[in-house]
Parts: sequence; structure tokens; C-alpha cells
Amino acid sequence: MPTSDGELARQALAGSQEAYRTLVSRYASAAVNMAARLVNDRTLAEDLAQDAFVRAFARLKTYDPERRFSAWFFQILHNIAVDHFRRKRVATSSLDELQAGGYPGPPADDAASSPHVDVERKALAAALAKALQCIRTEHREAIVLRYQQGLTVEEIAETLRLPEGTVKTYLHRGRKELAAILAAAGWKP
Amino acid sequence: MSVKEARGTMGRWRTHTEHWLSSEEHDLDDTADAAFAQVFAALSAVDPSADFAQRAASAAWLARARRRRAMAIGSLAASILIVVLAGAAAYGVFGIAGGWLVTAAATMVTNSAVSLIVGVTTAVQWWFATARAGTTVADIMTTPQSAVTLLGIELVGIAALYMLQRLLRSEVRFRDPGALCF
Repeated sequence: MPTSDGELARQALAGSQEAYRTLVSRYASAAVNMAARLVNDRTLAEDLAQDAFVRAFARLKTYDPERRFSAWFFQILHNIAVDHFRRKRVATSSLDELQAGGYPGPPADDAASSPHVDVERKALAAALAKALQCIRTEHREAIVLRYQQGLTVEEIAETLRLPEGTVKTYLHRGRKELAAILAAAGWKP
Repeated sequence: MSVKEARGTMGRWRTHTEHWLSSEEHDLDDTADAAFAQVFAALSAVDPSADFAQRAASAAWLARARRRRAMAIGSLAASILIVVLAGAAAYGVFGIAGGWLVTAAATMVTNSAVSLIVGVTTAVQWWFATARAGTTVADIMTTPQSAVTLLGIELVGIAALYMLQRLLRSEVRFRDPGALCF
């Protein structure tokens, strides 16, 4: 049975670097993915995720093991991202541009995958990634937390410190905006 | 392959997308939510670097060490500042009154001691000088020669005074005999 997040956090607080490394390993992918969707830059996303893990360690005493570690951690990552957006507006490159430059995409997820389907997926991913950068940051963040990280509306509200009604509004409007962009891009039948 | 070419094959990604867009168009929120979740899966996952976890954990440890060092330096600086401020405050509160009293007391004690020592020294010097003089006189007077000499000088002096008195009486009588003879 794997050690719980709360137990790993307790061991890390007691001085175990290995425990914290394990905790980081568990959430590294989620953190980098979320940051990447927010800033649309893989290197910067890793930097922001690392900053979030450093800050999370400094505040580990405030973590309540009764809560989900992901919700608590994404709150920190959200603050780091907000700080980043406030500090500067950086020119970013699309993840799909990065993939075109050599970054491997995800492996084929089923046996029925064909070159046509893969091309279609890549085209949709490129359009979606581009559309995500066109909507408001608040909407984008709520969309990523909901559809990429799989958080519930309640957890998103807790992470972003917003009322649940506001989160629902953000999700609804964000989806509508994305739908409009993709429809205009030729994805509507 | 372009979007239009991909559209021709009608793969599952296009089907998901069209289903989602249709749901949004008809305001079927729950259906749109589920359909969009399928569409969102098309986005490539971004795998972190192989050493990301190790790097992040090490950075957290280094940051903690830096924080502790900064706190230690800050505590030391704060302690020094408190001591300096406390000293300055104590000097400010007690320095004016207390310091004057201490200084005055020290000055008075020092000056008194010096005066006392000087006075005692002077008195002792006078005492020894007088004692030396008295000893010298006593030495002279206690020898027989000195005593005879002194007695002789005294007798000569008495005789001289007597003779002087007689001479003076004779001279007065000669100047005014009437007044002297009534």
C-alpha cells in the first residue's frame, strides 16, 4: 500500500528529503501540465512548478492531511502563476510548436489509433491550445483544473478561493468562448 | 493533413468535437461538460524532465537552508540591535540624572581625598619642622656652656638697662632743675 500524501508530508517535515521527493514525483506531471496550459511554455512551466514545490515545502506545516494534497498544492501553483502574470508578460511558444520542434507527443492510447486519427488529434490539440491562449486567464485556469486535473467545482473554488457559483460561471463561459473559437476555425459541422 | 482533410476521415476526435459544439449551441450544459472533457483529452500531456522531482526536492531543501541561515543572521542582528537600543535607552533615562550624581560624587570624593591628603601632609611637615627647632633650642640650652653664656648675656643686659635708666634720670635733672626740685 503506497504511503499517503499526509504521511509523506509528515516525514518531509521531519527532515526526510526522500519523502518529499516522492511527493514531488506524484504531482510533478500534474503540476507541469497545469502550468504548461497556463503559460503555454514548457520550460517556464517547469520553472513555475518547481517554484510551487519549493513554496509548498516552506509552507508544509500549513497542509492539513485531511484535505487533498492536490487541491492544496494547486492553490500554491495558482498563486505562483498569478505572480508570474503580474510580474511580466512573456512571449510564449505553443506546446504544439514545441512538439513540432522535436518534443514527443503522448503515446498512442489505443490499438485502433491510425495515422489519420493521430493527425486529427494533433490538429484538434493545436486548435484547442491556441484557443486556450485566447480566453481570459481566470477561465483558462478553471478549465485546466476541471478538465485536465479532474478537480470538482468545489475543489476548484477552494483552490482559486472563489465562490462555487463563480467557478461554474467561469467554466461555462470558458467553454462557450472555446467553442466559438473552434467553430470559427472550421470544427463546426 | 489539414483540418479539412482530417474532417474527411471523420475520426473520433472530430466526432467528439462536433458533439461538444452542438451541445454548446443548444445550451445542454451537462452534455457539453462531458463532451468537452473528451475533447480536452486531445491535448498532449507535458511530461516533466526526468530529473524534475529530484531537482525540485533539492531546490526546496536549499531554499530551507537559505531561509534558516537568513533567520539566524536576522536573529543575531535583531539581538545586537535590541542590546544597543536598550543601552541607548538606559543611558537616555538614567544618564542625565544618574550620571550627574555619580560624576559629582566621584569628583567630590576625589577632590576631598586630595585636599585631605595635602592638608595632612602640610601639617605633618610643620609638625616635624617645629619639632626640629625645639630640639635644636633644647640641645643648646641643656649644655653648661650655653647656660652660663645665656646667664652672662642676661646679666649684662640687666646691668645695661639699669645704667641706661640712671643716665636718663641725670640728664632730665640737668635740663629742668625747678621741676625736678619741688
